[in-house]
Amino acid sequence: MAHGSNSRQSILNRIRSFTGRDESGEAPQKSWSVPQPGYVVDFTKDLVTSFTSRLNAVHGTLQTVADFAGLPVAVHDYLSEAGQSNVQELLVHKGLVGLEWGNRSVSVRKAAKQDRVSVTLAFAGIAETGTVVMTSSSDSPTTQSYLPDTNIVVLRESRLLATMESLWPLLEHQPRALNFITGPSKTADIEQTIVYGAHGPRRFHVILVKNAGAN
Amino acid sequence: MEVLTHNFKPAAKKALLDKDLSAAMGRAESGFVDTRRKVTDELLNFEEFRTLGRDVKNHTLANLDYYLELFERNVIAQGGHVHWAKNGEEANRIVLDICKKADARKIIKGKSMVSEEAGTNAALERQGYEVIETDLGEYIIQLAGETPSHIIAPAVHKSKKAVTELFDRYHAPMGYETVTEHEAIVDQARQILRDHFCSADVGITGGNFLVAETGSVAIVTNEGNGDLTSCLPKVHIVTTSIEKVIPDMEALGGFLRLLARSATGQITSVYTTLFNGPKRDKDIDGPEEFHVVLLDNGRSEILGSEYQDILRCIRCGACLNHCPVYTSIGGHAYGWVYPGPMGSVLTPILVGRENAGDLPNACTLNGRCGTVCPVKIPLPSLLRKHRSDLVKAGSQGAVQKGMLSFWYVLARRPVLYGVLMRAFKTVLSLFALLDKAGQRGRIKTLPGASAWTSSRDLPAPGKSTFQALWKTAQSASNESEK
Repeated sequence: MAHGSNSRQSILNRIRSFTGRDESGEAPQKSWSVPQPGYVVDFTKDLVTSFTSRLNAVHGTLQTVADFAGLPVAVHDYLSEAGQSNVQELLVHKGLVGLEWGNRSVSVRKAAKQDRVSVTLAFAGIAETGTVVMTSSSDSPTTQSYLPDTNIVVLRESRLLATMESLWPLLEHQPRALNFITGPSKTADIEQTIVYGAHGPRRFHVILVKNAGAN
Repeated sequence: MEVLTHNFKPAAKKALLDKDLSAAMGRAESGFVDTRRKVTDELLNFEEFRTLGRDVKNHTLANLDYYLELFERNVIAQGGHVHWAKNGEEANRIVLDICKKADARKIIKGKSMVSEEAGTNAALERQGYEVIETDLGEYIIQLAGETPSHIIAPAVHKSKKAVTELFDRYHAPMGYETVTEHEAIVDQARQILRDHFCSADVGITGGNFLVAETGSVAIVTNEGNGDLTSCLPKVHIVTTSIEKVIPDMEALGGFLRLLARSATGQITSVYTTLFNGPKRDKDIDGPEEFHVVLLDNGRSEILGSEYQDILRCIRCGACLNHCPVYTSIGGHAYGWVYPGPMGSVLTPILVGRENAGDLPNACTLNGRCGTVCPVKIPLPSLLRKHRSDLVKAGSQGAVQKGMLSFWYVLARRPVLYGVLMRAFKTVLSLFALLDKAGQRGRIKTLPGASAWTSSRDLPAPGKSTFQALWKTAQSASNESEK
């Protein structure tokens, strides 16, 4: 873009007068490596336990199902418990459309402000922090993770990783948006008091699928 | 943002006498310090990560042109645009241009200190755009017509009561009821801002890290407002600055472990998002246009200078939370975007030392800021450096100069020094005795020293002078050696 191109050159020139590099300069040698994070309790021993305790600490909840077929019942039970049993429509990841959802309708679409519940499918989970990793695509719209009051995230246990560092080799390409989500939305902007449900979901529930099969 | 740093002394004095501010700051200080301590202790090798943070930033700054160009190439390859801005005015022109081309009317914003620096909101409003901040703290201060007083907790100085009154004034005409409890206040803001999220044409966010290797912009929030700002409107603009670039994802992992712990005392923020360009072919949501505005505004001139270390700053705010001056006077007294120790180092460089010479002097040299900095910026040394440069530039006042010369004369005449000190001690002790209002050992009012005593007590002198104590200790040790 022509915009700011003079500034681009003058900023880069000023930086180059310091770095001494010319425009065709080679890639610099990196000289560091990220240390393995060490905690009092070794979180890599039992990833499910570590993930769960981190998630619970930030007001996220977790339940486990044996396989994908068990998801609709788990979702139904969770919504009843959360006082959301009258929800008619679920916004879902495309990969979950084919399950037996019973009376509820499911749609793969961009979320709107009146949407109440989404059931999204995580690309991976990170045990160190209790985080789910969402990748945007035509099957997985980003808005589903942010607009509904209740976000249920499906996580395959086989995709539960120790650290963020183990994620990068699994990602074939960067999606438009890569979202790391750890618990429900919150704010402490008024008098340092934590309130959940600032702009994003008020309720954040992870369903861990033990045997995800070929899915 | 308008530069009011020359007004530091009166502003600080006013802040010290503000009881509401003092209550708010006290609450914030203890909250931030305790929670940070807990999570930095839990990560056993936190120090190793601090070293990593320092080394990666130093490496990146030493090769800044390379990483900025790599970042730019990768953003463009993903269909995004990169714009370079020498100063805030140019950054605003770029943003205005994009908004005009997008035929925008309503603009929503996630928190961006760079846009505060450029005064982007005011520039947009002058052209008739409706601009709405969406971070709850930023929204509150926008309603109040104020600027952020903390780089990560912009409304830290506001009490719940003040927010209730503000919401009453602005939301009641829209049909909303009075809210007095935290949950209800947050919920009302949530409802109002949702309508804005869903009807805005352009979303502007900051960028915490720019990952060169992939062309990704990383932001962190707890509220999720940054994500809604970026994925609902048809245009997403990132306003950020050149020193935010880092080499790769490996480095990002290191910085994320440092940032949340140092900033809010969290293990990780609720939301960390990497943006990689605009909506793709079959995507159902996401912005149609993606722009990154890279602001320099004097940063490239700091490269290679004695102040270069400040460019490592990742804007966590830990140095603010651990600074006794910041936690006493709050952020507004500093008079520009960046308060506290990092601000007192950066501001005089960016706005000119002649405008902001008082800032580096507002420091007790306790060193806590340097100890907690996640990228090991030697803040105390940089503040001392500023002071020394100020003296060299002859900016000392006549009184300060006179007092120092007087002390210089005395310090070389120990006998005279001793006599004067004893006399001084006797007079002060007398005042301490007569000072009925003060507690024991404190002096509340002292003629000629009201500048000190109007906002704090003066400790009453001890039983003996330092010289006398020294003499006793020396002779005692000589005795024992015999």
